[in-house]
Amino acid sequence: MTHSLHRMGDLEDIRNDWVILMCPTIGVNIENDRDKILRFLQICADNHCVTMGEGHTGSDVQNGGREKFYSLLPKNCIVGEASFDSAEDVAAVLKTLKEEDLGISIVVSGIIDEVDHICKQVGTPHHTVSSSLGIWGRTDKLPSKQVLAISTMCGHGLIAHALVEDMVDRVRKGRITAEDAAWEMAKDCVCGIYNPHRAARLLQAMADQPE
Amino acid sequence: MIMDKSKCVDCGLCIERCPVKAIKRDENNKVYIDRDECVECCICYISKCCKKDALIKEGEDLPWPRKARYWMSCTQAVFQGSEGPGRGTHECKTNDVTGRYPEGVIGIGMEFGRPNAGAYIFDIEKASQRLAKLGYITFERRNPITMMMSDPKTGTFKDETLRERILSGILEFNVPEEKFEEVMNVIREIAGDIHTVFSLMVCGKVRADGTVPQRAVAEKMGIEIRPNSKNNVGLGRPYIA
Repeated sequence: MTHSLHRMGDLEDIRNDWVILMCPTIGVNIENDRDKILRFLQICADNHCVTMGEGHTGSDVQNGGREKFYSLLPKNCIVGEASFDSAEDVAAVLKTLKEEDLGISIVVSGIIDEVDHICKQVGTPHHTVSSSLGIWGRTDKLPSKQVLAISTMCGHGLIAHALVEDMVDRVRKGRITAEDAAWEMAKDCVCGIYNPHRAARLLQAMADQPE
Repeated sequence: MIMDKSKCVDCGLCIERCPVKAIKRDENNKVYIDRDECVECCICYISKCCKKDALIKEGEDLPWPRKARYWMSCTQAVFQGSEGPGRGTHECKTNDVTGRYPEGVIGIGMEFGRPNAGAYIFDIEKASQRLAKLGYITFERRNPITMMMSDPKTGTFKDETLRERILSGILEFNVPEEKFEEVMNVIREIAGDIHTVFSLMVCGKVRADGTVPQRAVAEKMGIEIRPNSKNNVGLGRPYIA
């Protein structure tokens, strides 16, 4: 559902684009999981996550910041999510999660070889892999790959291509900075795995290109 | 979604917010919502882009079958019986606890309408009926798209849903490893016969030698596997190895 495996972009660009999820299993370990999801999110925050979210609550950006967001977490959380800029931060999170053994499934989205390396480094199993075989069908209806690199960061497809294109235009004309534009678009990602740091880099690169 | 034109000032801020381009300007430059194209994702409302409170979310008040759009497209809606808000299930994310994809099995998810193209149910039905004809496909029963079928064995949807448009919906099913190539050939045919796009996910349990079952077949068929992936790292309990 979070669609994090389908994030598009060049290899060097997505090398700095990571997502970690904590995902309870219905009927097994979701009842009263709030404290564990909160602990997961706090570990992510301690290790420089960029944005975070929870399936029922929305994102920290939508809820006016992390403390407010934490206070709104329900008793039974459906999933905890966070975005990161670096493999080192992801490895640090996984190391702590392994030590604390919270007992809820953890999913890491990133370059598969680097995920494998982190699993070996931290000592967690690399249990199951979901691979993306790309987009099929009427791909002529899609915008440019650069626009898709931003819009596919939203786990539910809610960042409109037109919004990305409008923001590029506004950055190009100096009406908004790339950083502000990136954080403005973060308001539309309800799961909190859209990474505004990466989006800002991509927006600036598009704005710097001649029209 | 409904637009209250008594409050709307036609600023157009909502137009670029719509992921499926359902908010438009008419010949008089007035902003309106194209109800046929609107998938009821409600992001125009959730984003608070309208400074005049002119956007009204109908949500749970929508009648069936239009309510199917809301259930499938709005992240605040939960399709009853499914695993939570969203268009599918947790798939591989909890495989260390559920054992849903054991060795010898490949899981497949075809997310129609993603990214941002939207999908009519009739297009998804083309795919589900073609796959069902293989005779060994069972669609994931806890998936909301499967729940909208009148007959999951044939991949047939309820008649009244066929013209409903959703932001995206995922057909989820497992196949034995030895059938993966055959299924991929059917998926190739489906791709040439629909009016939208789908993002294709395949998942498999990591073998003892570190390989995953989907890679060799995809490479043999000349299908690119993207370098980024979603990985369950085995910290769930009780753990199924």
